[in-house]
Amino acid sequence: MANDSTELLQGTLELLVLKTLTLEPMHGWGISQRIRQMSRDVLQVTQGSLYPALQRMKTKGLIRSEWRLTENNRRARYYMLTRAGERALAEERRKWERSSGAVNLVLAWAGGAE
Amino acid sequence: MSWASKLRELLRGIFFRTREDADRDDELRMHLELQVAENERAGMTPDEARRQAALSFGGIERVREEVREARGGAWLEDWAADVRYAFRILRTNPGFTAVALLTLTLGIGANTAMFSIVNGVLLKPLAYSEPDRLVRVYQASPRDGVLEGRFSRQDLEDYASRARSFSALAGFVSVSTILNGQGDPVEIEYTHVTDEFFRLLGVKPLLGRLLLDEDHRAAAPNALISESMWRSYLGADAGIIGSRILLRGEPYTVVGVLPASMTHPTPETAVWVPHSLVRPNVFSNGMPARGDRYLMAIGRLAPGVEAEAAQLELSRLAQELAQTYPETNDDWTAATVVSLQSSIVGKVDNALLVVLAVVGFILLIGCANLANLLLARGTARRREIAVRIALGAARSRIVRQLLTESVVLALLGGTFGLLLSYWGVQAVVALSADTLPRVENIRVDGQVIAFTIALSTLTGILFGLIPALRTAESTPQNEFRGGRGVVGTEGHRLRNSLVIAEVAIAVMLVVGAGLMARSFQMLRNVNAGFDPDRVLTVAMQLNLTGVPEQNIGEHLLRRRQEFMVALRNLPGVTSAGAINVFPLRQDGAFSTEYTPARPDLQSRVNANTRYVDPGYFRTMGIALLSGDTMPRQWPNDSPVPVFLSQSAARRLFADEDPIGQRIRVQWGEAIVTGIVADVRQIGIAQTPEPAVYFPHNIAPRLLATFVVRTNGDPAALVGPVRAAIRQIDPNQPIRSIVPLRTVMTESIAENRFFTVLFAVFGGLALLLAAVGIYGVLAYTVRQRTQEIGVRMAMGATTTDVLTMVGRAGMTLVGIGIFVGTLVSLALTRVLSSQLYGITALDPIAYLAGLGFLTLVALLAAYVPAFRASRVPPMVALRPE
Repeated sequence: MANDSTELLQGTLELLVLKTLTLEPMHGWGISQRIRQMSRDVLQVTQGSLYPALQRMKTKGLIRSEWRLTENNRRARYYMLTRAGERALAEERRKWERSSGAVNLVLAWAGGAE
Repeated sequence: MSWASKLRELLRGIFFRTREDADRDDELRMHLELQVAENERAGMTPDEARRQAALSFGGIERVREEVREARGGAWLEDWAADVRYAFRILRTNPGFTAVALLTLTLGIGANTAMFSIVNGVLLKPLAYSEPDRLVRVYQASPRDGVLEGRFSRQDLEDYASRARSFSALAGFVSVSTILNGQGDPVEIEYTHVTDEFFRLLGVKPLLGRLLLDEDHRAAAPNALISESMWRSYLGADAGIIGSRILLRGEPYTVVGVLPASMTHPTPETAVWVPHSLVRPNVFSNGMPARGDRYLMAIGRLAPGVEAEAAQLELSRLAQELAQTYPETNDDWTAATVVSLQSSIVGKVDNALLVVLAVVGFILLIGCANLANLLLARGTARRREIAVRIALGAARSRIVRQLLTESVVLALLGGTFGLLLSYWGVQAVVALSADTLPRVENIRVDGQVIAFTIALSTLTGILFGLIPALRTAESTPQNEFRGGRGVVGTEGHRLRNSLVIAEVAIAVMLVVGAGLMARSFQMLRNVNAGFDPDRVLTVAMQLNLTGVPEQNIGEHLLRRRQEFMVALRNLPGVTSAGAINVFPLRQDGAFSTEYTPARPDLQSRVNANTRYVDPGYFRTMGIALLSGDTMPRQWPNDSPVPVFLSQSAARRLFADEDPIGQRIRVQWGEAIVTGIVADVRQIGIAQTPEPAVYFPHNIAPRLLATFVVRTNGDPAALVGPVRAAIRQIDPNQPIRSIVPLRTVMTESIAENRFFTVLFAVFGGLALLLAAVGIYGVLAYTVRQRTQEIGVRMAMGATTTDVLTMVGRAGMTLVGIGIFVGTLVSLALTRVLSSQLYGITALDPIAYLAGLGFLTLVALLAAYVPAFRASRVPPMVALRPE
């Protein structure tokens, strides 16, 4: 990949999608744009990973989809959170915070040879 | 609910596949367009915007595929596509499909038919409560070689009260009687049973009740009837309980109807009555005594007791009885206990299992043929496969698809096979001519269908796997290099091994069929002790309807004499005779212990007791070895004259002249006036049993088989004999009226049945093997057409080519025969118990079988060889 955007782990991508959808129902392109904007262009979601992930989450029952019209009067598939998706978001978020906190602790460790 | 959403997505994936795919494509297309628009907004030229968008998308096909897989059920979709593809391939190759389906239909059909027979006859449990605890029990006399003897009532009662291995023991004895008052009189089977009989089996009546203990002591005879008698003779009348039926003119009160599942002692048994109704003189001379063994017995083992332990206990009790009653029980020192199921099935089980193995082998031959066909076709399909691999198909995916093809083919064959087996079972049962036990249990049911599906799937994998693996090995590099595909020697070797294997299997089956045929021929040529040609037999139970009790004896004697005279006077009849129990038929047979009336001789013999008319021996052609013909009259004060069979005379008097000797009988002594040749009493294949023959007029018998010898065709006498009997008593039913030859054929019907089965299946194996040999040679010739053309252009003669191809074929056949013969020598032993008069290594059967097989193989090899020799050199050299 040309720019220095970060490749996302699968579990992380799902967490981000869930978070994005708490604001409002969105279509696939919207989701990828929103993630890019919110991460200030650091996180780039490729279509190749986004759409399979959306299908997987749908199969798991975390999101559901609906065909709606966009503001430009185009037919698009909108995704929205389900009850299970909200619960999953809370759970994933707690996990993420714990593990990222743990990683930060390790990085912030001041002891050792340095 | 996670599983619910999973299921929903899966179902959508299956049933709305097209719509889901279209939605997905719409979505992706929109994404791409929005990206292009975004890029244009960012200042790119339209072309550049489109290019960048496509680049960032990263292979639209892959994304589509990944979304589809994430949807779940992709495997199912692939599989459905494979099945559709398989059907298309099968349709485009009608020749191959037809040959394969025919092979599979025959192979799987034969297996399904044999399995449903084995399942019904051997595997299904008996329809009684806890059937694995039910046994048949026999008294045995090791000294006389009798392992399955009967009991006297007294002995059985003693065993029942002493034995601890059994919860119950019950006796029964079957005879036939005449049902009157329901249209024409008919002969039916009925059975006397002791008190415990029904409780022991755990049978529930369909209507009414079972026999109670009171019935066994009551003076008024009560009876149970079978469901089939109730339906066919009594109009299935629900109010039958309490009404009367007439058996031999005597009224019996029907107290219950037994269900169709009650098939003990035989499925034909129509009436069950208390044992207490057994009359004197039926199974004995006078009242049945301890020495009169006529009762058969069944037992229910006590919980946790094995048949072997029960047999040991009974043998010990038998020895105790022999000590207490040496007069009657001296020889009866042992017992035999076998499971009721195996006693019903008899020795058929071994033969049936062998036939099941035989059809299994036939299917294997069919599989080898199909594998060869697929290998040959695989070579033709290598390019198609190589293209698919080049386009990115995984090799495992190709193997899976090829296997789907063969399994689909096998399941189709299985379906036809199931249909075929429906008729196959009927044909086999008809062929068995009533020699198969438990035929009423044979049907194509859920178990059989499950078996067929499993077998078909397995068959598909068996013949499809190796060809699939080999075909999937094709690499684009090899296939597209141009020219014809490379034919590996490895492929040849595989095909040749398959042919060798199938020839070897065919050798086994053909030799097996040869052995059975030879054994059957030996059986047909057995000297049974009589001359079976030009004799008609007429079996009946004399009609006693309306005869008062006190006149029965006199009536029987007179009626028998009237029939004798009428038969003897028929035109064409040279002599006539009668006997109560006919050889090779066992109805009403009983044996008695005889001893010489001499204090100095300790010998004894357990012999068949038979009552004959003096003309019997001459009519049957049984040789009179010494003494006079049997007298019709003898002085009142002199002992009854008896005839002994040769073996009975030898047992009793060893080397002394038996004529004029006396033997002990119930009422005193009898004098031996003649010795006749031994006759095979039980069966053609069984050694002759000793017999003692009394003049029929000393004890009137119900059963009679008349024999008449004619100077013409005995079958032509059937009409006149019937007419003569009807004229004397229009109400006299005739049980059977057949030539003596037919009696003999009936007694070896079981051997005939298995011989025909082996012949049919051996023939089928041979045919399939011939197709296999032909197939491989034809394929080789097609591949070597060019080479053969070159050879012929260089001066090879047609004979040279013929020899070359023929030799290749016969080399395979030769190796197959060699291997097959070795395997047969080891395996035909399983047939031993089915063979009579020859060993399982009979050289004539081997030579005949191998010779026939070689002949057929030569023919199968000749056709492609002949075609090869006709290859015109020009055709061969023409480029493809």
